[in-house]
Amino acid sequence: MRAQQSTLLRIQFLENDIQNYKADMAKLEDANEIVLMQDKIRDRETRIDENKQWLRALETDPEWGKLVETDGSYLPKMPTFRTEKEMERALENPESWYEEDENEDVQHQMATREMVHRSHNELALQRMDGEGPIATDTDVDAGEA
Amino acid sequence: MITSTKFSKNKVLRANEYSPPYHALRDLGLVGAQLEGMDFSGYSLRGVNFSNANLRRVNFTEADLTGANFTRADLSLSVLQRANCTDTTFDGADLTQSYGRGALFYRASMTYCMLRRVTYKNAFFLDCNLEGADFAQGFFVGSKFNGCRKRYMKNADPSKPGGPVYTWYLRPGGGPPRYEPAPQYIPYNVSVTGSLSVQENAARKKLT
Repeated sequence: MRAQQSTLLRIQFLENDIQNYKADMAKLEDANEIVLMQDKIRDRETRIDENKQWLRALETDPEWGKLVETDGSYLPKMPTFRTEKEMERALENPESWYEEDENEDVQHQMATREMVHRSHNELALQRMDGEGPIATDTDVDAGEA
Repeated sequence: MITSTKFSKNKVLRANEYSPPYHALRDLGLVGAQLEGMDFSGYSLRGVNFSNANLRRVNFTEADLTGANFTRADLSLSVLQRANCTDTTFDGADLTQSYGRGALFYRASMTYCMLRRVTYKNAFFLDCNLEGADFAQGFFVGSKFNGCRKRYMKNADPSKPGGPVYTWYLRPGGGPPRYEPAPQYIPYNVSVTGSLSVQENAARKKLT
């Protein structure tokens, strides 16, 4: 929540900056100075976009980018095994991707996604083999012609 | 001890050509050796000293590197896929752009090791010393870091530009992954496209 507030504040400051630059630019007459001012405005706009993106990430995961004090320095959280059982299973087969204690919904989503990918893959292979819908539409049988 | 030796591929014993197959290169000293592009896949290289050696593009797939020493060795573009790196030393080694899918780093010393732009999917770092290691733009989806020392680590924050990727954020209906959280995207710490022949899974072992 604190990170979100500071990001909102930063966006506000950047918007104020843009307004000030626009007011200053209206007074300017030198073309070079106007171009420089336009660059500054563009830079602030980019930063606002970045901050908005960051805000969107924070809304989804409030702990995104949060650093934890480890061994005397602030470092991000890194993924770890949660249980001994999980570690043993992973060491046996590092490529196993179903986690036993994973949320059931997540498991379902993973299976659905794999099914979608599999069907896309099969379709692509069919097309590559020349047996897919695109190839059959364009193919003309020499015997009939 | 062999130092600064230029090996040809024919001179190195292949594990499957001789019996007993393993330990042919056990406890060997290859300090500063020129071994660029060698194939050590499936070898047992226990306790071999590769300090300061040139190991660019070397293939260590499924090799046993227990107790091996890679201090300040150049391992850029090398393949450590499913390699066993128990008690291995990588202090100051350059692992830039290396590929270590499913590799096991157990009690490995990796202080000030360069892991820039690496692909270490499903690699496990257990009780390792990662002090000062550089993780810039590394790809660590499915990797786990249990009991590691992480002091002075560089570019380990996934939220910063140039940081590593620990989690994929995927949309259930399909589409490319995102590296930062977004609404309706589900975080995945594991590889979900395992049985498919997409590029990232080309080297994956077939699931049973």
